Amino acid sequence: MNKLYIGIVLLYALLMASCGHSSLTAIENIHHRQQLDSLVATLPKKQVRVDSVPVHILVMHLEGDFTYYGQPVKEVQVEMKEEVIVRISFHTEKGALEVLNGLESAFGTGLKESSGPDLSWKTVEKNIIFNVSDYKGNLLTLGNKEKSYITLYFNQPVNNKVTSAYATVPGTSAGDNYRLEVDNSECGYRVYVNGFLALTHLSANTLGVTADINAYLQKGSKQTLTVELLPGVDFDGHPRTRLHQESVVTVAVHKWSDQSCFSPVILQFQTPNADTMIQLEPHYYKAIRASRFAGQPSATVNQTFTTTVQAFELPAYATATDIRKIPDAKERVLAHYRKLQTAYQNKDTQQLASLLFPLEQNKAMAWHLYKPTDGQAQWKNITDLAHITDTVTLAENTSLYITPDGRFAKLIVDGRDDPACYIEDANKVYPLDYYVSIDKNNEPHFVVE
Amino acid sequence: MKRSLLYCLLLSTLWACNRPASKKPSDIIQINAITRESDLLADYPTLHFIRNGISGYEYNDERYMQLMGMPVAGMSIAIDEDKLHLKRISVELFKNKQDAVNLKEKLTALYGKPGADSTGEFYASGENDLLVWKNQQQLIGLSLPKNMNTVAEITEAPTFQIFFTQP
Repeated sequence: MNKLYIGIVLLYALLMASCGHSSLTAIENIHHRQQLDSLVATLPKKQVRVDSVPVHILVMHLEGDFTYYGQPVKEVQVEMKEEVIVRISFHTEKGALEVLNGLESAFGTGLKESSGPDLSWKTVEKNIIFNVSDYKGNLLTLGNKEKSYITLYFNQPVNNKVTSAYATVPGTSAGDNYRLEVDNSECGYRVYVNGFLALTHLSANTLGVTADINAYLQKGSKQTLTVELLPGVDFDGHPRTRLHQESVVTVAVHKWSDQSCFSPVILQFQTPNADTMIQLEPHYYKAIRASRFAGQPSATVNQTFTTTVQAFELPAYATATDIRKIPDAKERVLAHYRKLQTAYQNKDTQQLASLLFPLEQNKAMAWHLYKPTDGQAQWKNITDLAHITDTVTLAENTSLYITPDGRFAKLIVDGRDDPACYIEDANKVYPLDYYVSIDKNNEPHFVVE
Repeated sequence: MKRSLLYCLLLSTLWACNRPASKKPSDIIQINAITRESDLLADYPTLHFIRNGISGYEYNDERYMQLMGMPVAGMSIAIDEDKLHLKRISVELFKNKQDAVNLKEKLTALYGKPGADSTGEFYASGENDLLVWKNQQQLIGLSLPKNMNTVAEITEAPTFQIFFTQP
């Protein structure tokens, strides 16, 4: 029995040895506001200096016996915005290489973008920037005499709420993304993926229009692509009423992933031409194979393609009711958009979270494209926007676009395909382009952007 | 006592396994081993390539990149229009005269005497000499400062490029 105790004691000793940085003065252990507060509380008042800066922003200089990956740090600068830590920066007196090794053994190889010795790491809770002060060499000659300069940018919107949710997201491994690439001749087009409108383009002769389609892919591997040919506009910009003879759209679906340089084409097809040639001009011989749909007001062509199996199904798919069968569907959808508009106008981040967060979280968990950190950045954009915006517009004349399966709808501006709800500032328009589904309990939800 | 020693051994093994493994040589990109079919992102998953445009990538970390045994400062790669093959690799070397001279000698030993750029695939400014080697799958271009053998020190970094020719 005694031996067992010795074993336990040894285990404890080893554990202590292996996580030897448990003191709060090790800066790498500060993860959120509460830990910083406890640290500030232990410091003598003369070691805390607060700069007088604009409202809502607080800059503190802390002096103390801090360390970063074992290297001494004399002073730490902390910047807080609206009570949340935004940035902590400091430099170590020496030991740049030691700090770099510490960071790389904790977070893997750093990302190096410039030719200087700057490296960065993105983690769920913060972005870390490593820089070497007054140093002209490169990483091969870096030693421990140099000082390192560290900046930590914290991602903590909405009182850490998002951070804790994203912490549960499993690590993203191999995953494929899909992208459309479309060329057209004398016509306009819309491209739908599984009934979702992925791309609208009315001007003729444009090469290489692209759209990411991950958000529209369905559970399983079989997906449907629909191309709708539209008359579009002519050379002088006047709208046509019928499809021109040379109305051809070429669609390619590319597969790509962060794990590969290459992005092979998995589907390439062209809308069909007629079987026989026609002569264009009566006086000289120039014959073409016209579009099979020439002269019609519009035409649709369906094509299926297979993807690697999508294990994820949008939650709304399972429960959504058929919107076409709801008599006041447009009013219901409109009311839901109004809620979003009001939430933005009142800068009500709680309400925004309840309207959009489940959706954004699903996206972050479902698609490799939206890695946890990216999803989080996206969410931060949403809440940042809420803080700066006053003008959220809901267009007057709108119509309801319903996906062919009847499960999703969104409001678009009459006669155009632009989203009806958007935020506008001096330089830019941010579309609030969300679909709405109505579940079995008659509750509307935003589902996919 | 024997048992506690065993505990100790087991625990220290666990502890050692928990630490990240030290850098393996396989994590170092050997630029001369890259072929038209190499998928660098898949081959070096621990390294962070930066996407550069639609069909190109960059990599900058001199610790993980070697050309014939010498470290290099930066690399950019371009993908062929078929999106399934590499088209071109451009490498920036360090401003080290001896390394550049050694590289020139090694390439000459491997592929014979270099020629001038008759292909128009490579670009060099007026102050540089452009040497080109050809083999079955690739054109190799090395751009060196003029009068490399007589200058004491070089001020501009030499560049090295591989253009993969389609078989």
